[in-house]
Amino acid sequence: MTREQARQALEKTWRFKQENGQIQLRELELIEQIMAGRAPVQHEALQASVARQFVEVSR
Amino acid sequence: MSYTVTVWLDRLLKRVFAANKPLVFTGGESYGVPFVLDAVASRVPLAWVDLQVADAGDYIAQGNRLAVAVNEALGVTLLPQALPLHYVIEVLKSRLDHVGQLAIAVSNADFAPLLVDALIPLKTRLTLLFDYRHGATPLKSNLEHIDESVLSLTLVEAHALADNALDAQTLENLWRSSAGAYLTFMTGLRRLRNEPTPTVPAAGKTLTRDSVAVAPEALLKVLLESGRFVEALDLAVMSLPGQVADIIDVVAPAYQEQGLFHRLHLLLESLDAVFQTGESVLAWRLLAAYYVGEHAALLPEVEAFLAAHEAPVLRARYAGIVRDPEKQFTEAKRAAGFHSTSLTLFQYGRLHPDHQEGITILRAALRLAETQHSHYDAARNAGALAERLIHLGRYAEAADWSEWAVRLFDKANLKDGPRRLRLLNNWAFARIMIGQTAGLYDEIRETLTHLSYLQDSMSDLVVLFRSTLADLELVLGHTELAEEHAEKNLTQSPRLLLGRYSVPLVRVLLEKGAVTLAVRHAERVARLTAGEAPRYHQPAQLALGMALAFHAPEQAIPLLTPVMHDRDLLAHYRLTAAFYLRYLDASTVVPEDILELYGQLSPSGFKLLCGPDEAFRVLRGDVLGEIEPLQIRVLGNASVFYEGKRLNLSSGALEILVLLACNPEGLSLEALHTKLYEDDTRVKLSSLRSSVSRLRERVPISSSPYRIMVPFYFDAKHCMALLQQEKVREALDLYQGSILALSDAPGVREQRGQLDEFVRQVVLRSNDVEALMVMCQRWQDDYELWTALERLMLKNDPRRALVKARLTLLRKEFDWEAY
Repeated sequence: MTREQARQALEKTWRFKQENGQIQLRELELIEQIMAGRAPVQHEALQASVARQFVEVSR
Repeated sequence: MSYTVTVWLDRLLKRVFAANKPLVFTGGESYGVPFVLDAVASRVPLAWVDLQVADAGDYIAQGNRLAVAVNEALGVTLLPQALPLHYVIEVLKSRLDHVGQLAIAVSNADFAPLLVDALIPLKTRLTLLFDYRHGATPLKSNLEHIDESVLSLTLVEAHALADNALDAQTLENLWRSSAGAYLTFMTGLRRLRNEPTPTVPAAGKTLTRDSVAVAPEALLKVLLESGRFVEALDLAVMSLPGQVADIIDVVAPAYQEQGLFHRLHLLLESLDAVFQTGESVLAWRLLAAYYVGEHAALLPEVEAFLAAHEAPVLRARYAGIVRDPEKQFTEAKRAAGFHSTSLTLFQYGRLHPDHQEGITILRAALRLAETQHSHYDAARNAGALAERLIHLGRYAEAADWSEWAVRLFDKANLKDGPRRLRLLNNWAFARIMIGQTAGLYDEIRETLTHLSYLQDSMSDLVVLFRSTLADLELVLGHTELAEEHAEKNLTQSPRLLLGRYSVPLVRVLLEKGAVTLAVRHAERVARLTAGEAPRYHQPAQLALGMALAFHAPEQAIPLLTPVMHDRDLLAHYRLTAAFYLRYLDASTVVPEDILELYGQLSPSGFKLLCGPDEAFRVLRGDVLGEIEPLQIRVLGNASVFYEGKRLNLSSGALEILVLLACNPEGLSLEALHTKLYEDDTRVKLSSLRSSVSRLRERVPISSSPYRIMVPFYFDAKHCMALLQQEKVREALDLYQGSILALSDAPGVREQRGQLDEFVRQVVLRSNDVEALMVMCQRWQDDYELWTALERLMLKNDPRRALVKARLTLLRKEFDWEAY
């Protein structure tokens, strides 16, 4: 299999959606893990947006 | 999540549970399909399969999704993973009786038309819900379609949802603008009320409505830390290819264990060349390509890399894949010599030409895997160890190691289904040889049935299980079935392996007395494998030697002799050759290392290796220590042999013989009468006397007292002795049923009751799951046995669902718990 063939086969099957270098994350489970400290992420942007989302969902 | 069942939901649930066809939903999230599925889950156990676009066309990934969803819904490991969809469906089908009520929902069903087609026939037992979200739905009349028109909220339902919080006009406007779509309506309603938007339920997790945008680096870290390795590699290849080399050794084992080689292959081959070249990436590329059958194109790149680098891991993988046996060993040796890991030692030990040395190395590989807490490697290495032990004929050890590895698989919840099946198959073969076949037949036959639905994929596993089943059928006396399996395997065998698969067929044909046909088959195979390496040609010579032993003995000896002496051949070939040579010429000198193996052979092992029984009777006595001229077997199907000939005895004569065997010191006529008829005087003493006289014409029996006058073997007594030594599995192998199960004679009933209870007590005391399983299957109503089994069985044992179902039924029958 050539690189091009592999890429074509993958094209429409990515598990994640990427826009402008960012990944569109939709899974609350992940967010909960981060909030519970089980998945410590030192990334301010992620922390902040996750926290916002989490608060909204848990309300 | 919790919610109140609204009028809308209530209407749809009624529709779902009233339907007698599988349901097809269109309308997706906006029309509230996930809310309906979630509500179904609150009524019945729901296996919710949420397909992803990456699963389309990947039947192993689809099988995994189905297995995970069903296992989670039922709380037991019912279905295996890393096996193609159709295998998983067949296992589900065969175990449906044990699962109780179950619904299966498939979201994004568009991605897996074959999964939908395979589930539809199960509609009478399962509630099936297919959720199409991408436009294409099957237009089949055997499905009930629930489309947007059905899912739409009526105005009355919208009012009920709003709970009078809005004025009538606002509510009607909102209802109209949402076109009755549940989620659109509810989102609008919540906004108007200044409440958070609704959360959409989904399989196994809850999705938020709006997505969060994160930097890939941060997400990759989260995925790695939370053990979501399959997603991690997907993300890395798509967005962070520079990190693939750093994480590959952590994430790729998850692909291997779940059998996702197709996806792994695509991901790694799509990388730019600059990211593809490190040792680790190359080693995983090679493995993935090998499993999808595309490794030939990669070999030059691998060989060039190995010429410039020591790369022990890649070298070990290469050793396992390259064809030339000499190269296999030198490369494996070099890899292990440079760096000992559980992988390099595994390949080195597996490929070592010296079996003893190979075993020592594999033990070291196993220890290393254990100290590193790598369960997968430990199970794999133990499996390789068992295989080498089988090669050497050390069947008892092989059975122990195979069992240990299978248990480790279940305890550690390892997912590589095909590897587990290989372990199971080796365990089965070793058990036949040492006589622990109790409970084996159903398991092997069932697995083969499931495998046979796979057609071309995994055909090597089909052949393996079929050959084990053929062995078992032969041992159990089902000659016709054994022949059918053996013949099929020979037809499907590649040319080089024809020798291997001709041996069982010749063995079965000899059992049937079809000597000419056996010779013809064996001659053809010998010609087709002539000039090939000894490991391919020698089994063919063996098969021909076996057939000629009954046709032209002088020609058989020169064929069998080299097989017996060839230490590179499998021990059971050498044993067979030795037995046939001894049959042809009692003065044959059998090599020491083969003689040493006699001790662990069981009657079933002996029967598998040589037959027919009449021809090998004397040898059987020598090997198994059965020297008694009279053989009385009454556990299960009764049979009596005297001096090698089967006696057809009436049930009355059998009862007399059993009572005499139970009382070797002898019985008076009166005592025998009491044991047969108690107080019933209708049968006169004189008529019993003449019955004994008739029996005496066939078996030497003394008069006054009546006593069997020749040394005899009595299986019930042997079973009792094994139980006293706590050899539970060997005892169960003999205990195929109660003593003369149909006999009503008081003396027989007493013996039968004693042995049954003894077996039961020893099995209960043994804490041996396998033994308990066998007894439970035989005595389906024994609550104590089933509870003991449930207590001891591993949480992930695939048979747990059956145990739970049986216990539920028993409790219900006995009304011990409210249901």
